Amino acid sequence: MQTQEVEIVNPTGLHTRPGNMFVKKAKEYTSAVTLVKGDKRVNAKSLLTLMKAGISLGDKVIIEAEGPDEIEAVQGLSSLIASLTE
Amino acid sequence: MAALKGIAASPGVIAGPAFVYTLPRLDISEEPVTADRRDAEAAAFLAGRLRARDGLCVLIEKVRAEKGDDLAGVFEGHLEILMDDDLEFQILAQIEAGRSALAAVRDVVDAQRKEFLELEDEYLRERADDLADIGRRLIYATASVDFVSLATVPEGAIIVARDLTPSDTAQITPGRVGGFAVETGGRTSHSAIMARTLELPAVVGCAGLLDAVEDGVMIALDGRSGDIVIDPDDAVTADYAARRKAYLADREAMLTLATLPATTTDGTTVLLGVNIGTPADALASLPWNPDGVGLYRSEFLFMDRPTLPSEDEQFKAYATVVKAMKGKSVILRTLDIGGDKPVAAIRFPEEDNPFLGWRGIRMCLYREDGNQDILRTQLRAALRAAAEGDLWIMYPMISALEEVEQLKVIQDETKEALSREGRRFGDVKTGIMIETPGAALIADKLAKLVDFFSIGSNDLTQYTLAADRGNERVSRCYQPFHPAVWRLIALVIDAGKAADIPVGMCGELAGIEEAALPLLGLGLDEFSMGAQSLPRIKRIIRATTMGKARAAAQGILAASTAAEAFRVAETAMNGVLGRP
Repeated sequence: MQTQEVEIVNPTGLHTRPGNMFVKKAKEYTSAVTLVKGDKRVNAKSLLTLMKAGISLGDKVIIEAEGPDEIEAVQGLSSLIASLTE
Repeated sequence: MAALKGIAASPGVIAGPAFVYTLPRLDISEEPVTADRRDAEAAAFLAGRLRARDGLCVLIEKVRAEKGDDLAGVFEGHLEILMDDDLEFQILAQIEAGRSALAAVRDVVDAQRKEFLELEDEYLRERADDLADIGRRLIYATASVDFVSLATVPEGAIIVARDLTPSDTAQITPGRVGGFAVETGGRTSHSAIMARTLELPAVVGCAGLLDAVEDGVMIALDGRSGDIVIDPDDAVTADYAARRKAYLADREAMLTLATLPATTTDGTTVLLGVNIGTPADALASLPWNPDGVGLYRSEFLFMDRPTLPSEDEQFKAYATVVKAMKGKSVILRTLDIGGDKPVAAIRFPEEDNPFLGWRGIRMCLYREDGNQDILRTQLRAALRAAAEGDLWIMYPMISALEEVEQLKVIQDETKEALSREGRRFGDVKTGIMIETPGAALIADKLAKLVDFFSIGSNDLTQYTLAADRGNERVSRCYQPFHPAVWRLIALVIDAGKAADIPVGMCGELAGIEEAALPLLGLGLDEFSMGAQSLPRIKRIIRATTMGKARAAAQGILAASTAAEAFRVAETAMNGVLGRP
């Protein structure tokens, strides 16, 4: 399993549009991807559950990936989060 | 021809064909579904979801072409949620348990919406509206009932509806839609705020609207007065066309005025600020070019929710406003609520006289358990936001000097705590609202303790004249031009001048055109009002000399009655504007 902690830098957090970009990207990988915020663990491939996790500006979250492309998944998703601007 | 009256929600005048936007009623069976029909219900849901998906795909491409990728991206998010595995699983589980497909969709979507409403983050909480939108699309598709989308409004039509949600208004193209009229809501409801943001003429809270209007019939609407005329005759049509022309010309002149300073012809400049409730209001005020935010009503962040906003959530809202104003001052008023406008997260006891009761700063300071965390949390957020720009903190409902002393201690303690924790925070100016006659009468003493005053003219008027303007029997006693009120205002401004601190006004009086000259003449430094009043007040200030303004002030202070004072003010205003 690969993990990476990232900080949410876009002002509106993982709401509908940035959240959807993230989920779309997560679905490109075959690995299971989980986002961890505090004691909440959510499936990163479901926008509905991701949005309900209430991930917003300044939150630190951990991206966990497990599967054949887990290294690429964690890298790709970390850089996506860092690049969100709105 | 028929006339209706609603609440004026967004200025502008328009006539056009009505586009009646209603959702057909759905017959949702609450009966348990027998085991042999459950597969059919599940199939109905899955087929409905495919229809909903097709409809959404059409909408996405349309929105992309008309409004660009950003908004289309929101509806792509809708599509993702519509097809979400977890949502599908929950709905199918309900059907398996014997619910009808429609009841299952409704209940699961409702439960999901509630989860969003409980989120702490404001942006994410508002996504409950997205879910309502998705749910509506899904349930109508499952029932195989078509409903018209706002994306198909004919050009120039006036939308007529029971209510419009933010997800409805996202589909409105301002240049295409003429305006709208809705049955529900008030001036601060979502539909009204969106109308002002989109600059569409709108009337809200218009009872009986849907019964009176048929699809396609001509209607004329004045968003400044709340008037709606259905099927107008030629004379009314001509009248509305003339009103529209005058409104558009006026608006153009006002926007030009927005770029100029509020300076008298003999060179005295005052500041014209704006009153806001939310970060969105701050952004919407920018075209009017205010000199700052004279009143940021923080209570909006606390309303319509079960819990208190966290420090971080408050910080984000305050910082957003401060940044939007780009270095101009923002006066944040600490939580100002009372028994007449409670918030769910704070328990208010029954009071015989809520206006004379536990409200404003009293509610923050005087607590049975001694716990002042509501105020301390707000101050932490405000001090942190002050690092992002020019933030001033203002305390409401002050009636005694000891309150100001105590508040300054609490503010200093909050600063020390932030400093100990190594948190980033900024310097603030500290001021108070003068809205009780008691505070006005000891303004000379209070001025020594604070950096600024802001006169809350609405409460000052009602407390001075002991008249509740919401009470119809005594609303005639509520007279903003009563000489007693003006003598107190003069006293406060003089006290501010003697102590060399600025005095502003953030009540309605500051946005009343007839009051502008006498307030200027008394020496008011800052006028704060709704954004759309700014150019009207500025026009008067730019047309006068200080001598004329002082004469108007003297005239009002010498008047015996409110009617006489108003006449003095009105005559002075007409004089400088060159009106008869």
